[in-house]
Amino acid sequence: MGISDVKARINRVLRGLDDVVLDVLSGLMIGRPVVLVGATGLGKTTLAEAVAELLALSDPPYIQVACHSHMTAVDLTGDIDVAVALQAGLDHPLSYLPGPLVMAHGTVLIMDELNRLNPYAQAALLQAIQEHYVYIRGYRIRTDLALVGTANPSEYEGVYELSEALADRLKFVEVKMPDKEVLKSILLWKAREALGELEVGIPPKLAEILATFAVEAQKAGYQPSIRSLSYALADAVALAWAQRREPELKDLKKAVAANLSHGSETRDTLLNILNRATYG
Amino acid sequence: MDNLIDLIASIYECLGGVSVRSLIYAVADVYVRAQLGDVDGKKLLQILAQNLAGALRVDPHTAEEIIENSIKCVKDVEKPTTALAVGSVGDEKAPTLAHIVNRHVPVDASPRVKLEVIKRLNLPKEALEEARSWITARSEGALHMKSAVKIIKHYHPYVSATDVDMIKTAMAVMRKTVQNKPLSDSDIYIREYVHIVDKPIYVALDVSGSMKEYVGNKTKLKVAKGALIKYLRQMAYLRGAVSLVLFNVDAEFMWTPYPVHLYLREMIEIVKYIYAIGGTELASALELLHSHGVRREVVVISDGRTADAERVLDLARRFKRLHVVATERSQFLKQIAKITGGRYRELTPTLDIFGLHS
Repeated sequence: MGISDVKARINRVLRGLDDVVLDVLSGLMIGRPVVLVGATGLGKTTLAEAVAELLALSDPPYIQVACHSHMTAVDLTGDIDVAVALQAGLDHPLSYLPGPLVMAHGTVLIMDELNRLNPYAQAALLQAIQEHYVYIRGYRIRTDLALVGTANPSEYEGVYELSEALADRLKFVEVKMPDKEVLKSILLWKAREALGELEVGIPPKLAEILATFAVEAQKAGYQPSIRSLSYALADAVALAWAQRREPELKDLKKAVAANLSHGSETRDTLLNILNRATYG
Repeated sequence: MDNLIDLIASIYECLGGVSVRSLIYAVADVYVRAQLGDVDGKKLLQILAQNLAGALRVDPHTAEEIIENSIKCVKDVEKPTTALAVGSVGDEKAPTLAHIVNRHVPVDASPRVKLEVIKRLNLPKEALEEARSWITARSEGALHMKSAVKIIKHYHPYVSATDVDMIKTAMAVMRKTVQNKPLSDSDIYIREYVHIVDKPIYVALDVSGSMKEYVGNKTKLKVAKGALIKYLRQMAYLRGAVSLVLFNVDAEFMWTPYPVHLYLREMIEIVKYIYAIGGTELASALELLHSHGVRREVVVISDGRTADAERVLDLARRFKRLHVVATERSQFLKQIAKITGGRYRELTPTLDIFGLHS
């Protein structure tokens, strides 16, 4: 498979991230865990999944963990199943319940929200990355994996700082908002996907307004999510379809307001930006 | 290949050392990425930033800026520098080593960075044979440094006999004897000292042309350097922080306070590059230190031939414990040490600057 094939296959699920994909691949090729950094809804997890599916190292192509702050090292490594161990003995193959770190042996491990891991779980991860095995109750279990993580730097609630040793072993690839034209085509495409069998046309004007809005909002310091924007677009079109009329601007505004996951104050500011994007 | 390695080496030096692991991966990554797609200058920076972001503990975007700046920093240093002016005794202005180095890096850059700058400037280095000195144990079995008495209190176990306040103890013993009462532990008074190693110590070294004079078979500067290096070693042992100020007519920080045990090798190397040039103005050093809020624990190494003695005395009154090491006998320097409560020593090849503090 050549580079163009890689790009073509990634483009089936994501667009405008060709460069990032190559960065991720080159990181994995030198055996360095890669962490995708960026705001929500830019396609970090989708990208990680697409890369893992592309590599298809084994079946299933990847193991996915959603990290959270209460995760323990045992949650990552797995543990002895006491009930089985008591009946069948510790050397029975079923007496060990593998955790994601061990299940991902020989394949890709996708860790969502890696920055939420607490220091204890980070230590287990560090051992797996560095020494290629984990210890479970004194048993050493080999695990070789390609790690792709995602992290959202803008959220700080319940986030632990990555330890220095772990951070030093990771490659951080930034996922950015694509430029306006690409964004417009992404919105049209994703909204089309969300509408599914619904045979309606999406007015490109609406997509353009949304793309302008996204660029302006980003300038103003907000991080609009491509996911919610494309759903907002689909929402507006579906609403108009249900009322048997053409989608209009007011539908779009309503849908954006309903799909933005922000507090009321932020929402007002963002709607102001949307108004300006519409008329200015 | 060599270009990339050179670039990475210069980034390493300019940043004052970053994780070598990340740098190695960065090199590998650049090559692999070049196989996958085009890598231009901007992309190269981006890849380096992606790999170093973790080690620098910033997000990739900021890391890119840092690396871009660090490349520029090296380029600045590589510019040819103007020939040094040769100065003599008087009030002639001439740049000290500190002035020259600080043109290229911030004043508070680490000694490691400053040493790198000096090496790139191709300045002459003076060979120094260091007098081997063993740190002699005092009371507590390790090097111990005491300054002003902080508090006097009753005896408690495990204090050294040298810390007993003899006068107060004698008074107490006498009182008890007169009253015909038994003596107890509470009659022994112990001094507790301020350990000045907790605070950074500022050393101001005179690098005027007059330091080129010979005492015996060595220049004064060379003797002073020897003593300074010995002092740095002792401070490294105590894990203290030392800052060095060089002054002739103008004063400048050679390095701002840094823990000596971390930078001992670099500091000693830098000291070897120090040269003497220009006139003397002790007031400039005191002014510089005063403007940085330094009020106490300053060690001045000078010959006392300053241009404006009145101004020096005026400034010295604002300091506490200004220790003076004189390279020649000087009533003036003795006076300065006296009015600030500091100590006065004359520089000899065997001088222990460290003794000033105890």
